Amino acid sequence: MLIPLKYNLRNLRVRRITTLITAVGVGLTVTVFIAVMALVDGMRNTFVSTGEPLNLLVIRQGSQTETASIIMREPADVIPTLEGIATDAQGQPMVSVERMIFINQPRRTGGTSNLVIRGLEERGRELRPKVKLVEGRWFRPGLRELTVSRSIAERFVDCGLGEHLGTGKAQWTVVGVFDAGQTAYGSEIWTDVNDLGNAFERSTYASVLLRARDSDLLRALTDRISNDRRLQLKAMPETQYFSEQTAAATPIQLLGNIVALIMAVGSAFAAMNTMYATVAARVREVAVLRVLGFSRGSVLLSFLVESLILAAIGGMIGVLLALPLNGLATGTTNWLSFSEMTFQFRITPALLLQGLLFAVVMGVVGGLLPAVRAARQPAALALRAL
Amino acid sequence: MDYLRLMLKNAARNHRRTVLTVLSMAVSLFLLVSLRTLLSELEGSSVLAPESALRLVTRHSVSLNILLPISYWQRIQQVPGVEMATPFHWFGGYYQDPKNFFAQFAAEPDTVVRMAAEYTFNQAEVEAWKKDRTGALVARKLMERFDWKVGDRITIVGMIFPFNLELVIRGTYTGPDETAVWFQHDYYNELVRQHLPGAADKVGSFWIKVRTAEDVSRAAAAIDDMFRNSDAPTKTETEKAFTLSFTSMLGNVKLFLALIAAAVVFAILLVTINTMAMSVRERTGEVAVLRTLGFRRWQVLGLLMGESVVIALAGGLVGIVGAKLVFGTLDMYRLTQGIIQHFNISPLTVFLGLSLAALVGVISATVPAWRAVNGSIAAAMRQVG
Repeated sequence: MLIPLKYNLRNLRVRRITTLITAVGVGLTVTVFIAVMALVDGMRNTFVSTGEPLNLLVIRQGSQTETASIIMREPADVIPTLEGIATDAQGQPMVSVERMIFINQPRRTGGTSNLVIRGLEERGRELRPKVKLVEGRWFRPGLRELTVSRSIAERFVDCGLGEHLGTGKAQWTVVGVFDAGQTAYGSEIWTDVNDLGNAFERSTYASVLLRARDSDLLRALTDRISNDRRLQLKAMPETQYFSEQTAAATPIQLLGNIVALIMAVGSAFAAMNTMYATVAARVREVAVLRVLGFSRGSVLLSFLVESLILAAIGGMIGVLLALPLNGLATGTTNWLSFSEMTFQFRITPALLLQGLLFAVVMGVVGGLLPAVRAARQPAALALRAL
Repeated sequence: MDYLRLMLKNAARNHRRTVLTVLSMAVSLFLLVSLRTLLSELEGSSVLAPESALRLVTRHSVSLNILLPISYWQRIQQVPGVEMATPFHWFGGYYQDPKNFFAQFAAEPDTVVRMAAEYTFNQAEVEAWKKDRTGALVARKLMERFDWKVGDRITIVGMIFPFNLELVIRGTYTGPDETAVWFQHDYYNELVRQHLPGAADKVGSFWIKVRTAEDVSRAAAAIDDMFRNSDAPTKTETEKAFTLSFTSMLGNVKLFLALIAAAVVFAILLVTINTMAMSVRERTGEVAVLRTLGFRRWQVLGLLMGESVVIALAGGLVGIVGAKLVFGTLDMYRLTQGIIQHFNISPLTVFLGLSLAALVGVISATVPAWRAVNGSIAAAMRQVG
């Protein structure tokens, strides 16, 4: 025979201040857990949503990232001549040979970060259809013009529409702002590839992006480029390149998990304290329950359930506290490329469920020992105290 | 003395509750102390020796990735106040696997050894390094990480530059920062000339030592003024500012860690308030007895608050000592694969942690204790059974 749930709910209500304080403690732990995971998820999502299925990215063999890759002019010239590359309406191959430069730029709120200026060829934009102009216009070659992603335009000095950005002796004008959806291009500044080369006296390139005609040709092109020992290049699908970059989120995830785990241990202790106090205050009640015929098992279950409800209330509070974070944009350094990356906190239903589950675990861990104590209590002895 | 004994007796009365409170306090303080240490280590607190106060770093004004002509070296050395300068160039490479990531610097043996005054070298090994064009000086921790020995040949694969370094380890060095390989700039430059002629005779940064504290900002300004209108303008900053600029890149992650710390503090506050409220509530009768015995209100108040502070401090102490022990035993350098090389909990962090614990103790006892001593004695006595 089970003790009615109402018994637990009433008890929690009678001791509402204690209940609330303990629940908020559990809730804060859940909030921290969800916040960290939402940050990691947001970072990962940014990388995973970048890239078109038929695009192939070419970097130097041995390089891990585009920003660290140096491609000489000769191999770069070979790529557009390869078989299997898609052509645009004018019959031109869909290839963009690109350069990348870091600039160390102050944030509007203080501090500095490394930003990437990407120099593209004309077809570079068509190859990335998720990137859309939202203000002003696209840069024109030969004029040292920049089109800047929205999050960079908002957050960095001299990067807003109409502003002038100086890099050494070169002066640039920001003529437009683009929205890159939630892709990794949302942390970049774009300009013409030759303008960038001239301004920094660079004749080498960083990467080549191209579109294959179909998925079979994509594989063929990948092999053709990666296996040509004269080229010394590495080709991989654009989507694969970016999903490998998700490793950048691992250190933060690790740190976050450790912090959440330690907090959970603290919260479990707190829950245990509250539950022990509850048990101690209800010695007589438990004895009466036992005399009425409720078994030790149902007493144990009842107290465990009460602890679970307590933790679940905490979990709800935690979820509510964390929800406003969803969609919040922020930026940090990508450890792999040493450049700024912006992303949004991403709270998914699955993550909320994980948060609640996390709370429930705390409830079980915190409630088990007190519940065992309540169940083991000799009924006769307790009744004599009445 | 008697008061302290009474406080301790009271604290020890409900063993289980006190232990649980101490433990949750300890866990929280452990976390706070660790987070604060993590932030300060990311800001280079253990790597920056006092000697670094007189040192500057010059790089290209646009970013570290754009190189400066090596000819700047001579010109920087002639700036008034500059005692010496040395080229220092970051070569992004790895050993065997891209996961084995650490810094390799192209350096000039004669000057770099004098520049790094806080580092310890073996003179014979330095001489051997100078004589070997492909020789390298490797930090002790790095030697241990890869089980290298002096005389070993190692290949550093270039991730940025399209060539590899074939180095022979000629010696080791020890000091605040033990994560790098130093190799000869002449060797690097020769490889660059072969493989990437456009980048030859260029370096990423110069490491500069000035004579006096007054020279720090003066020389930095003079260097930047000298190159302002050249093809490669410079940015010169103190070694500390240079190090901090890397932490600055973390951006909002720092704020994020601070918010987590705030959540932790708030959570322990709640937990201890709860515990204190519970234990004071149980003692309403006792408080009344104490007061009938002639104890003044403030004496009883002090007794209850003191008990709470004792418990909180005990928790704080356990947490901090625990952190010291844990991080003293763990090899953070290996564990984080070289991201964090030191994890020293500073005396200031210990002090702040204990102060916070005491403060939590005071705050959490205030309301329950105030209520207890201000209640009606008669009403409370009636409860005493």
